[in-house]
Amino acid sequence: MKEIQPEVKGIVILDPEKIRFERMDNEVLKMVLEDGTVYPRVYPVSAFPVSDPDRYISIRSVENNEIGIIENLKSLPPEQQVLIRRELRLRYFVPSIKEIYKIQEEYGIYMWNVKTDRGKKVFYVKGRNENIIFHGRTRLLITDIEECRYEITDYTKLSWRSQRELDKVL
Amino acid sequence: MNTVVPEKIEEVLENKFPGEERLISLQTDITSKGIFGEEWLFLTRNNVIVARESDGVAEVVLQIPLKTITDVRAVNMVGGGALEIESGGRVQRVLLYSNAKALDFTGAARAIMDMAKDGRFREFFIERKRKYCPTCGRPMPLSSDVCPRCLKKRQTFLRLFQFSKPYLPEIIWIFVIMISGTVASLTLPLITKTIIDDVLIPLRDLHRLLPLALTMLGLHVISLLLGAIRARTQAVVGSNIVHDIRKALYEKLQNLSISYYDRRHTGALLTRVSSDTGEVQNLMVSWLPALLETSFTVLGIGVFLFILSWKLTLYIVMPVFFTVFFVRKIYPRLWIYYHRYYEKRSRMNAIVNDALTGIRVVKAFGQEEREIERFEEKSRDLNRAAITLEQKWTIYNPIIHITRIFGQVVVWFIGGLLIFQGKMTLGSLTAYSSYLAMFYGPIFMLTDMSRIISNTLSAGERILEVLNAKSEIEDAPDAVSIPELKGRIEFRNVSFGYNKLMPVLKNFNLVIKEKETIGLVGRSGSGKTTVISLLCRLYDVDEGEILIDGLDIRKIKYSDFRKQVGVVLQEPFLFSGTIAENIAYAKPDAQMWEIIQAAKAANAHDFILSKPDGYDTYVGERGGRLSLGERQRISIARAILHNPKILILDEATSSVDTEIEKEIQDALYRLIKGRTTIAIAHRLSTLRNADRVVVLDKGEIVEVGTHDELMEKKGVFYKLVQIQSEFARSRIVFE
Repeated sequence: MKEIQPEVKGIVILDPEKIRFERMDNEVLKMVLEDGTVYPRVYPVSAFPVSDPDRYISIRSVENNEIGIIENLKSLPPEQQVLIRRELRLRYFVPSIKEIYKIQEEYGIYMWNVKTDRGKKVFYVKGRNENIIFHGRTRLLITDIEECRYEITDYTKLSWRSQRELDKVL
Repeated sequence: MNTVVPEKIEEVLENKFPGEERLISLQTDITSKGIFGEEWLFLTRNNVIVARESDGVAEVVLQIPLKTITDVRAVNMVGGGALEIESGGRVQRVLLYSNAKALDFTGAARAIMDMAKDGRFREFFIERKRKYCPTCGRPMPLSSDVCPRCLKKRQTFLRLFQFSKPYLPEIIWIFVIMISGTVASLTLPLITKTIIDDVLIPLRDLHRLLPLALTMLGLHVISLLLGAIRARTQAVVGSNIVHDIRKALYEKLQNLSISYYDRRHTGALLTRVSSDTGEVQNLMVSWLPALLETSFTVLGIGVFLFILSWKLTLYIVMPVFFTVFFVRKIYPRLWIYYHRYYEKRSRMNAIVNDALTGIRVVKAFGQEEREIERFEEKSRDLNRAAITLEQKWTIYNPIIHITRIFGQVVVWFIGGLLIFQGKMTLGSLTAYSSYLAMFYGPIFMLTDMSRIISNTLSAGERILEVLNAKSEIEDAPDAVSIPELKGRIEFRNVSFGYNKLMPVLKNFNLVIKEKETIGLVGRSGSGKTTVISLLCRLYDVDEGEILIDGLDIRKIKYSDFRKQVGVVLQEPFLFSGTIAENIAYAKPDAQMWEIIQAAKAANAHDFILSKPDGYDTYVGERGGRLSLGERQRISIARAILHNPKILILDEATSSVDTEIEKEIQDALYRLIKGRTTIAIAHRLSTLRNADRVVVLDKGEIVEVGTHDELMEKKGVFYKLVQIQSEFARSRIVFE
């Protein structure tokens, strides 16, 4: 069958040699192409933020149109990688849980008291069915009542105490 | 919206911006480094200011004069967002915030933009759903509107008991029988005592032995009889109550708005109707009466024990304390394993439901193996949860058993001493010992019952949660009844999003005249389906209003409204039943003749009659025994019979062969005539026949006009038609 939407054809792969990202203090990310075209405001978005955040980074405008895709973040020069990774880290506010102090249930709402890589936090999770999702056998994604996300990269690697608390909800 | 600003930040602001009124003071929960922490955003008449306090020092991080601001955006990100301000040619990321604050900052962004534009401050307060209890400040459970923390825990019981009100006389009757039965059985050891102390030990008054023995027999018979009568009444009352609950639950599920279903798994809801009500049935029919009975017994025995020997009673109080402690402290730990068990079960059910409803897809892609694996995984999880649960019990059961034996040993030892000291008679000790045996039984039963009851109580909670869920679509108190609509529709400044931060329709305006036919066109995701969902009132608008005959749709009685809106869906849904039943779905009292007429008008009559059972043909589950073209025509017939003033048409993209296609178009044409029609149109013929074509893109109207006007204009519509005809050609080649 023929391509029905001409737009579909146009996935632009960005050549890592021909792009440069810049970011001033406090400002948003800027992209400059080799030919001098400047995109003053771009947003990197991971196509597979959970399974492989480094591959297929879509560079999007503020209107959420795709400018192009970087196939692999690792093909960029190191300082450029740092820049994009910083942006991605801000975009994906998904604190990684390192320690679980306590999980307490009351009326179907679980209060989690945790330490994450972005600081300590107390948050509330409704039930467990839909809000604690397994990715593979050991990785967990948790969504709280505010729809903020948290992850546990490998729950078997948490401390014994954390695992005992986590046991209540798995 | 404004929270208390820390003193130090107040000071700094006062110093730097003396006397500037703060229109907005907002706190974020993430710092600019992307970690949890606080920063503050202020809007004054001249400036946007960001301040923070770290290590006890407050500072102004950023200050942007309003005059220089050209653009303000709250950019949605994952788990949060960023407030970005463009001023003097550069875009600054002013603040980061988590989703918890997203609504506040989206509002703030609009307010700042407005201020920068014309210097007028309008507060954009986006009303958010109440997620936290206003009394205790903690999160509200699920979708209920009541905070159970601020109610009593007993409330669940009490609310379940609401359902028992109609059966009050029977319940009182049960109580009476229960009390008399308990008294009868509790008198038995007293007779033993009399026999031992007054007859056997002194070895006299032999004539009293027979009457006493007969009394014993009589009491046994009486308590057995009473027990039987009670059980029969109980069964009737309990089952009736559960039936009422189930009915109420299903009624509620039918009346809840679509948005409720959007957020939930159908499988989990299925569990609520089937197994949760089953649990509650157990509670009502078996456990609760047993609980009451044992409570009576415990109370009664307690009194007898104390009368017989208060000293001995003090000794055996200890094990009782342990039992109570167990119920209170250790038991909640076991709960966790119960909850987990039930959760795993519903996860497994959800998988089964998914796979079986989608069985055609599974088969089509040959994924049976994978589905089996998925199921097995969940089943194994459930299995593990069940094993852990039982294993935990094996730890606690022996502990309980020991306390029971301990009590008996104490009684015989201390009681024996008391007899030696002449402070107690042998009859009393025998009676005491049998009371104790009767006493521990119920006490342990109570412990075990607390396990069962708490289980069923959580099932009850889940049901009540559904019963208490508020349908988002409800008749306004001042809703008016309009039996006859004319069919003029107006969308006025309508904004709507399934997720409130991402509006699907933005400031949507459209007036549709009476009996006009509108074709809605646009790419997928452009908001076509949303427009018709709103018009069907599956959802209510976030902003603006939809007017029917000049009246806000929310002010029209829902049932009246639905009667006059007909829907023909792309993938027609037929219920299992006969063809006639399906055609008459919206008008169950339709005459046979009316059904035939409707079918004829929908070009369905002939194919129906070619079936051996004619109109009585059973359509199978979801109409699975009919072809798509047949189902489509039946759903058109259904709409014709429904005879709505407003017709909503979601045309199928997947079409049938040309001849049937023509028949369907014919039928549609007849259906549309004389009604206000909104059609999500794919067929060129529908578009040509439409009075106006409305082209949507990203939730906004980009073009309006007749088919010919728009073709001449060579704009978005022209392009879409080009693509479509190209597609049609390629399909012909393909076929």
